[in-house]
Amino acid sequence: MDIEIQKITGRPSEQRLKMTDSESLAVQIPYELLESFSGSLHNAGVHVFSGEPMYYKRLNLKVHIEYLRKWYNSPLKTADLIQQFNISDASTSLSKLNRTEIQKLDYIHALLSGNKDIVFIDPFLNTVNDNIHLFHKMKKQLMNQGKSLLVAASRLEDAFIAQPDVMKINEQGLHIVETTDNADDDPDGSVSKIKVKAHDKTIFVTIEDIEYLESQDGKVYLNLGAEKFVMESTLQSAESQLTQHGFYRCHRSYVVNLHKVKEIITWSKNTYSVIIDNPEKSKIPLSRAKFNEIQEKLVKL
Amino acid sequence: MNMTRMMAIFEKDLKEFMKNMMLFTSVLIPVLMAVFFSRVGVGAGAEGEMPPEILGILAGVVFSAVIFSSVMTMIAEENEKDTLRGLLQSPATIIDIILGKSMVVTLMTIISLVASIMIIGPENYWTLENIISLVLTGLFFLNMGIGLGLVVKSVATTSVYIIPIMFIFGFTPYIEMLITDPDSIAIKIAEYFPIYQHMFVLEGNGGAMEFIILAAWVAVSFLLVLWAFNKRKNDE
Repeated sequence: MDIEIQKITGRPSEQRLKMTDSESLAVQIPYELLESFSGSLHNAGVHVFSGEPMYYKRLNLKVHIEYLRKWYNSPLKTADLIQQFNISDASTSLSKLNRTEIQKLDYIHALLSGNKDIVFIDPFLNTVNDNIHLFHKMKKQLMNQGKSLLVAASRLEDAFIAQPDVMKINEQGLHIVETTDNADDDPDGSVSKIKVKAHDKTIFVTIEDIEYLESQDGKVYLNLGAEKFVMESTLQSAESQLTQHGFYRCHRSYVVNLHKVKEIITWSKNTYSVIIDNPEKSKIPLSRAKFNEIQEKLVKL
Repeated sequence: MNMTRMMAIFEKDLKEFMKNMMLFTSVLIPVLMAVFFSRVGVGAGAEGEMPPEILGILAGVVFSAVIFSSVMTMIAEENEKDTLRGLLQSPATIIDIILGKSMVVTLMTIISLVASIMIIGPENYWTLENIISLVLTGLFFLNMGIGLGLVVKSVATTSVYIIPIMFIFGFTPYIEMLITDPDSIAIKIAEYFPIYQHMFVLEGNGGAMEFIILAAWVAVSFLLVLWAFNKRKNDE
């Protein structure tokens, strides 16, 4: 199954997003393009889960699983699925269940689906960590079934929750998200503020307030809770400036303020997230290679 | 056509039918009416046979309130909630869904009709001719429900169709109460309606003509289903 990039961006392009059996892809697609992305999947023979409820509110989870299992003539067993996905209450009608419990039905539906190509659109928006663990469980099983999984996320951090290698689609087309390390600029010595640009203003941000830095499209973005600024620097030089302030390069395109780190979550064998201590509990990708080092740094902090 | 899918839909919709008060009460309406009719009959001291108009109207209520409105509501609800999104991978699957749903409403219609008729307990009701006329009339109402269900976008819009269809096709014999002149053109036209054919057959006056007219109604309603299918396919 191939997805033509030009259908998403609206610009002529030869690029294609190739869905291969037993392989998964994670793509970051900006919010503006997500709609044309889901539009391009319409009637394309892929099974799309976009998070919108598509079940019967009068029926309970068990009836749903049983129904889908029969519909797709799947060999999986209802009782096993209920157990695997930690469904505690299989006999309450969906209208009385909360969103996160119903979300599990999407994962189960994907496993039961007769379609080989499964697409999840923004599966990590408004979800709980338990469900992300279940998502990874589902992903592993889908791969064992020989199916193909595509995760489209509007935020880069979310794409990294799905897997360590991520692609992105923007107006220009399809790219692989790569390291942005141009070894230049010397450390500026000790600084307490950092210079950022927001439209026509130049703002000086107190370093302690920064939660994390991310690099996208060759630009470095500073994240301060609700605000996001562009920084006139490379991630490499920003890192070297900030290391002494307790910042750590936890991923090719992320530098995190260790003072703001709340916890580290292991989603699967090679996908980790650093959780920021803020109301959104932002999830920052953590490279496998840095998993041990960041723990040492956090302990010594 | 895929039997396992049809049965999956049948089982799921049977459970939904039982939990949906709007659909479930529709099965009880004809039964309550039958109780009411049988009491009135006793109260008026009417001896012997129940007039065929009453039995005809009862069948009309069963068909319009159960088979017609239920199948339309069930399909409309799927349209409104978009619950079939992931399931409709090929055009053939919609036929499985409709057949599965039709099985549920047919079962409910049989239960409702048999229960209502048993309460009144007329003689010579279950003759072969009458059963055929009931099947054909039921098929007409089922097709109408499927056709309109495929077209409507929400459950709320179904009520726009339920009342007129119920009065025109379900309660046809009541026209004799509105128009007393038996030579009126309106009555002449009404006598070609499906419920009248069923009543003529029930009275024992049924010939080939009544069955031909019923078959024609079924054919027309089937055309409605085909039109609705095409309209839906083009909309997607």
